[in-house]
Amino acid sequence: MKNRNKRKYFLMQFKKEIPFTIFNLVVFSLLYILPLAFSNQYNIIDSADSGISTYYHYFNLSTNYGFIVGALAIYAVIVPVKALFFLTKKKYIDSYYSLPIERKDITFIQIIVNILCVLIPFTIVFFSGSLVTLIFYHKIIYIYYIILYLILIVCFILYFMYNAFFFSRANKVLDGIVTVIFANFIFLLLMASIVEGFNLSKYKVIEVLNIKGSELNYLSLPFMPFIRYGNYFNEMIVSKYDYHDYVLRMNNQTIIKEEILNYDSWFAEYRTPFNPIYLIFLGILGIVAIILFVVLFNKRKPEQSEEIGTSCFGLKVLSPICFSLLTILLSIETKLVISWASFIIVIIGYLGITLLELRTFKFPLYKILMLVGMFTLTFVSLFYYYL
Amino acid sequence: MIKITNLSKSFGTKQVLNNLNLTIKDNSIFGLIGINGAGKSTLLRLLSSVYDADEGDIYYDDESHKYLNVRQDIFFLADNPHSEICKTIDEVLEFYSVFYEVDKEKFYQYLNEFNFDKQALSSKSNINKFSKGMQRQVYLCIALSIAPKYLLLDEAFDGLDPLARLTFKKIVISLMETNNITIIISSHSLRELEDICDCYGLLHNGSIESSGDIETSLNQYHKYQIAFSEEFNESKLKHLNIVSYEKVGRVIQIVCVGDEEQIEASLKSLKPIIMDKLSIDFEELFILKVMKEGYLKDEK
Repeated sequence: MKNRNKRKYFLMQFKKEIPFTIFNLVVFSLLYILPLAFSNQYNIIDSADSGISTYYHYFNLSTNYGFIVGALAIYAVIVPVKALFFLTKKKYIDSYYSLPIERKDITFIQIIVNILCVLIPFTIVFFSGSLVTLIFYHKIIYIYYIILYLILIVCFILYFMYNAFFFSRANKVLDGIVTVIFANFIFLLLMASIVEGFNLSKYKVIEVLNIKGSELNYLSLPFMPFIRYGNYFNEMIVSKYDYHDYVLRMNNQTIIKEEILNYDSWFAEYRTPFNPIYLIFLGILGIVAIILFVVLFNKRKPEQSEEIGTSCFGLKVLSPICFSLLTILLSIETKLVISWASFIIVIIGYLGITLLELRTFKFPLYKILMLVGMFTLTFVSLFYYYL
Repeated sequence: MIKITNLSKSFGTKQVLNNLNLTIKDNSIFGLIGINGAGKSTLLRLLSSVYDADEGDIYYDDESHKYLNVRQDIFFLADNPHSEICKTIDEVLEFYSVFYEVDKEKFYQYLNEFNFDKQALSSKSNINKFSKGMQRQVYLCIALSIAPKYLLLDEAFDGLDPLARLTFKKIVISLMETNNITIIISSHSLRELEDICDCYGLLHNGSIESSGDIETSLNQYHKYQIAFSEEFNESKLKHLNIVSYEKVGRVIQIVCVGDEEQIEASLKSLKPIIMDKLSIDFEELFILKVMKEGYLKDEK
């Protein structure tokens, strides 16, 4: 009975989401197939054959999947909100939780169905697009498309669950959306404060992975793998054309043929090496989020929906942390202990978020004291920084 | 049989249900009454596993309500169902068919009995555009066509017009007789509840203040309208167990608890010029009960 209900519920939910899946198919097609179809880059190779210097053309050769990969990252932020929206409405809770199916099953079916609604059209469009590219660029290294696809799928699921976890910690839709935004930038603020505070930007902070201090800022953005690996694999897929370009340029400049043999070393040097750190960082965030999601889900009280959030992973905690870090950063950037601009931005921002969180202008004393505490902390840390 | 033992539920610092004990017999219609905020909806949500109890247990036929096979026999219709989840009647039917055996023929038959707008029955009609009463009718018909062993209805009459209320009561009574189901209805429409409920439970201060058979409870109260030729002093009625005393001019209305014959004999001994026995209904009984708890003091 239990499994039959789950299976039937899954199928029913999936059927209900077919229009959403078709919509996503259209969106992905518009973002990938169309730019591909109207791309003028196919002609560039011909112009190269005519002996005209085409260095920059070749250098910019693209598979055109940038938009679709970007869209996938955006979907990983929006779709968790859609999937778990029911947690933030009392009447949805009434209807869903009274059904003869476990709460966790309802939630996981919602998550799985919504992930499929994105990944199925993405897969169709991604591989259709890659075949179109293959027709025009027959020398592309196709295996990298498959590797990229697998990496993107893993990144999408991890990033989706990261956002799903933070949204599930809120009791109201708007609170959930703001919590997700904070969660996406909290590590950036933290890393940037550390990098700026300890002046790490010029040092290699992780030798093994060749990570510079300045890179830490990008690394700490959970959506960065989509950008970094997207760019990396784009170069790998079209690398044979770069080789062709290399050979042409070598010939044009009448450099001896043996140098062409140095292509491998040129390629290794020229290419940005594959850096797994982005995947590792997102992997850690995603796995911790999944574990916390499962552990804390059973502790979530159904009656809390539409109420003021109390979670330590919600606005109550994220807001003061983010605004404290922002104050420190703004103050470092402006070279002032506490600049008036940052002071005003932080106060307005913090009070605005507090208003959103509490839905009243009657702020409890601890919220005001927290603001004072934030500035005291900023002042003390900056005092030591400039000392 | 539904057995609730030592049930407690609080929201933050607010204790909504406190050590509540209640037994509801099978094949009955139980009216759950109480003032606003008494905890009726919370109790129904606990009975349907929407909420988790802080303490205490709920048993359906000696089995915990947490088991899925038990929950398969329970259908809860909230006061404000989720019409956004299912946009059309077909979708509603499909949604509930996943979990329950919905008798679609019965569903349409019940809608007909409600004189439901034929045009609105179109498979593409958006439920969200229906009036509140029409939405209510659709969900009531779903609940009735599922005919679960235990049917929990929150604010069942809310939004229904008098004709629809009448139809609903007829269907509920016939369903209870034919399908041997137990229905718990919370409502403020006490006159409607009186028509269909066998028993009731008055929720107050987080527990069941009084419960039992409606007829028996009503028989315990006796209402009289009396008038005297001369100015009447209330103290003369001191020996009677009066729960309500109202005086308009020379006409006095009293509600007493106790043996009817004794009360009547006692009143006659005061030689009233008029003495009529009036009937007391469930709504008055409710008012008397809540007055006893200190509400409506000013009006008293």
